[in-house]
Amino acid sequence: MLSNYLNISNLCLFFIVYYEFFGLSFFPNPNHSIKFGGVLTLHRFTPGNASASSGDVDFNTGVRKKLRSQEIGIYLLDDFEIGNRIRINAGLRYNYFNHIGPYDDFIKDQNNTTIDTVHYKKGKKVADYHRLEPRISLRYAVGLSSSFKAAFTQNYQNVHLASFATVSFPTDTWVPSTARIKPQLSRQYSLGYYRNFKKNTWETSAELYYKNMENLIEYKDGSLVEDNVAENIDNSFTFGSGDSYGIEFLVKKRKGRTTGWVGYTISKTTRSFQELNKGQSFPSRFDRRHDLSVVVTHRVNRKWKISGILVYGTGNSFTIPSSFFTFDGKLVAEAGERNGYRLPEYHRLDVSATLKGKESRRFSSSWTFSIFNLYNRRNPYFISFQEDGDYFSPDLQIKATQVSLFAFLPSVTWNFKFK
Amino acid sequence: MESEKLKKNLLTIIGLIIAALLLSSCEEEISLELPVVQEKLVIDGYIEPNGPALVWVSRSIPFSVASEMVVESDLLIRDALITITDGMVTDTLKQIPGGFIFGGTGLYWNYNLTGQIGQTYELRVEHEGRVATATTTIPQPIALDSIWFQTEPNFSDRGFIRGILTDPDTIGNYYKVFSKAINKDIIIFWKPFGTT
Repeated sequence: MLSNYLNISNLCLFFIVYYEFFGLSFFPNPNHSIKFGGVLTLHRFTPGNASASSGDVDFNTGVRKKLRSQEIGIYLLDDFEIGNRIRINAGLRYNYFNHIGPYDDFIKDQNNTTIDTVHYKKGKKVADYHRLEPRISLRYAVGLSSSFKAAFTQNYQNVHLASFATVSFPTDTWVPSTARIKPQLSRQYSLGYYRNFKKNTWETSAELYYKNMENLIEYKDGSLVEDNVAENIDNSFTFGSGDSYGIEFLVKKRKGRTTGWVGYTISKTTRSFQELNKGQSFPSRFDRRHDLSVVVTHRVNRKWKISGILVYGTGNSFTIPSSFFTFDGKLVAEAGERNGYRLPEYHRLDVSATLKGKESRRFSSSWTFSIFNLYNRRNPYFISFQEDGDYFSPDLQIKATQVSLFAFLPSVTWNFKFK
Repeated sequence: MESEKLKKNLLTIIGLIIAALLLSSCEEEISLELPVVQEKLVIDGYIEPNGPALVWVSRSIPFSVASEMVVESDLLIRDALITITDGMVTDTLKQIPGGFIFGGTGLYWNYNLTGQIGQTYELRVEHEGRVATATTTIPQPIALDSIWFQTEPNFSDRGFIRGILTDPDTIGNYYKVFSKAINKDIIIFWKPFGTT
């Protein structure tokens, strides 16, 4: 029997060193604060690797190539009041990103044939970006207990997430910006209304937001993860933009024996790529129409505290094969509409009870008894498709298998603290 | 000392919790509610110098069908009308009956018309009102300058097949490499089976 396999080791290793090399604060007056600081970040990425075989033949998929980069950010943040009603928080951040060698860049022609290789020595600059990130938020107090807030934030992100949607196992790859992958830009606009009741016992808010993203990355159609032979990882991506908008409601009880909050968001997140889905926009993998969280904590007495968490969310979208066909003696899946299928919705209830232990002068402790996923909801993590039988007879069946993680899970935790 | 011990115990506990979380995954077969997809005509064929035209015709199987049991008739198309022309001669391809089913797919051929280098061929497939056409030209064959087998020190039973060829200066050349193990792989209809 013919055996073909493609094994993708999803261990995309990366480490990031984050170092705040200076930070200063000034207070010209009690209602005015200025912060000034700098942050240095070092990235090392090692993309995952793939191995493949067909029959007795193993394919060489090349060696892993590390990507090294460094980032410097300098920020200035000013927070001040105008009169009694207006508070402004304004900031500006300058960001410098630098991708450095050792690195081999494979130059391709339009047929994706390598026509030249450029070698960069250790520490030599491969690509760099200078970016400015302004932000401003304005709060207007209507009375003592209610206010409006409007905000604008511009962000650049140099660490990108690419999801491999056509492989059934969700494969996420993190890659840094490179010469081909430009820093991801996001601009967020929001408008909110906040109101407190009963002497700040209850806090409520409603916030409307719109976010626009540019330079998003996705794998090109038909590309294989981590094909490392004479290939740079950034050659397998295609670039596009995204939109997200929604409204968030929050009700929070801060005081009393029973506290907690209820948060609900209705939103829509789409992506649009010229080279994907025939240029038509498609739902983002994390597009979540409804998202609900309920958190309640009740103090029964001095010793006992009980709490519960309920979460509900629309299922992630993903791509499933719409049909199968035989070609060149192999069974091939035809991908359906991009992210056109929804996983079942995600929901779960967790409960816990905390018993406060005896307290001494040096030591305090508590026991927490909790149950994760109380009603044992089998939330789908991913769905995979398996061939069952032999298509040469043919006597074939394609089975869909759902893998769920984290079923009903009781646990006991002992917390302790030295004073 | 005491706190060292506590730390160690705590690490053990954390380890056990992580192990429990990892073990609590669950795998089950599910049925998906899927939009109805129209099956499509699948055509796979080639013509080689001095060889006959070979065409496989089949149907794609929508997932809703594939999730049940696929039977031969879901895949096979026995009554397609296939013609091939080199501009001068037009010929009809015949289905190879019965036992010559390869990959559950219907194979059609015609051995009156054999491939000539530099010749252009037009293929037309008609089935139940659907028509598909394709055009191809047989390029000049490129000989291998050299070929050798290179053993892999870490493996006793495998190695690399390496070869050198001179790619002519035209854009859009593709090469497909076939290999087979002697006395092990069987070849059916010129399509090396087992290794492509």
